[in-house]
Amino acid sequence: MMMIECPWCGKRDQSEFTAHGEAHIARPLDTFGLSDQQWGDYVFFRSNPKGLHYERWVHSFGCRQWFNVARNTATDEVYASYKPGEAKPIIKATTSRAKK
Amino acid sequence: MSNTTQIQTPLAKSEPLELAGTHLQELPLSGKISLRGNSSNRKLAAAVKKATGLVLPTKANTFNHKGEGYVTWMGPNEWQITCELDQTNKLIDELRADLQDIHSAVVEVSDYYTTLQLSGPLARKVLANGSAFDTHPSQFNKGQCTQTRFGHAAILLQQLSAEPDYRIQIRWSYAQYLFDYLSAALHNHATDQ
Repeated sequence: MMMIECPWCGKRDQSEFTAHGEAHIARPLDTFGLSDQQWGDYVFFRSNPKGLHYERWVHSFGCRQWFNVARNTATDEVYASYKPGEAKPIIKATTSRAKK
Repeated sequence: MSNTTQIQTPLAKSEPLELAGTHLQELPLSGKISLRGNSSNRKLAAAVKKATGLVLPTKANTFNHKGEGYVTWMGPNEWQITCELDQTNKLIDELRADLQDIHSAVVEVSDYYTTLQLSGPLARKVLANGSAFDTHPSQFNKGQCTQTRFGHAAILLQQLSAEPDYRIQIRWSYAQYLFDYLSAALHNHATDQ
């Protein structure tokens, strides 16, 4: 069972949340000047790492707020949760489940 | 032709249940108002205090109540106000009048939800049957509330006393599902004793 910390409600079971992909992808400002390839990169391409991943979650069965989570995609370890607009926390990702 | 409408609650045909000192029943329909706004704006808290006599809870997952009046934290910018059904329109008019200058929303949701009461010694066990939410007294106590998941349904859970006495608010269309699930769980735990 994976537990996720909602920045408002505290630690809750994963089944209360919905995942919405990679976080910190800014919409390009100069949308008229964008080439098809640049649009394609923005809309479709994601980093998909094994290990540390910053992603967006929403507490859909709880307070219905969006926030960001730093999670290890290989071990499902959740390193941190933070509110939208807050800076990315710097995390030294571990690969084993045993290490905290 | 009569001008009065008879509102039938979704669980009108489900009998209240009492097993091993634990009660499960649907409560009479209450008035419910969804309030959105910025809690740092003093006008919001003042308007709620004036209309309901209750303090707007700003601490996450808490509620204030007096009699049938409740103000419940639903999110950092969302609350639910519960009142007697016949007071709903009056309350909405008062709130809308006081909040018209600030960024806010007051919406009636009375017939969107119904409320169940689950109280007694087996209540925690019954809730644990369908929800991963921790209701242990060290985690969840009187005056606290939460929105969580029970089976496939999204519920609002409020604890009124240490006994424990819970109010479970559920969307109208899920009410029968929740009631059947809770009563099956209560039957199981009562026979286990």
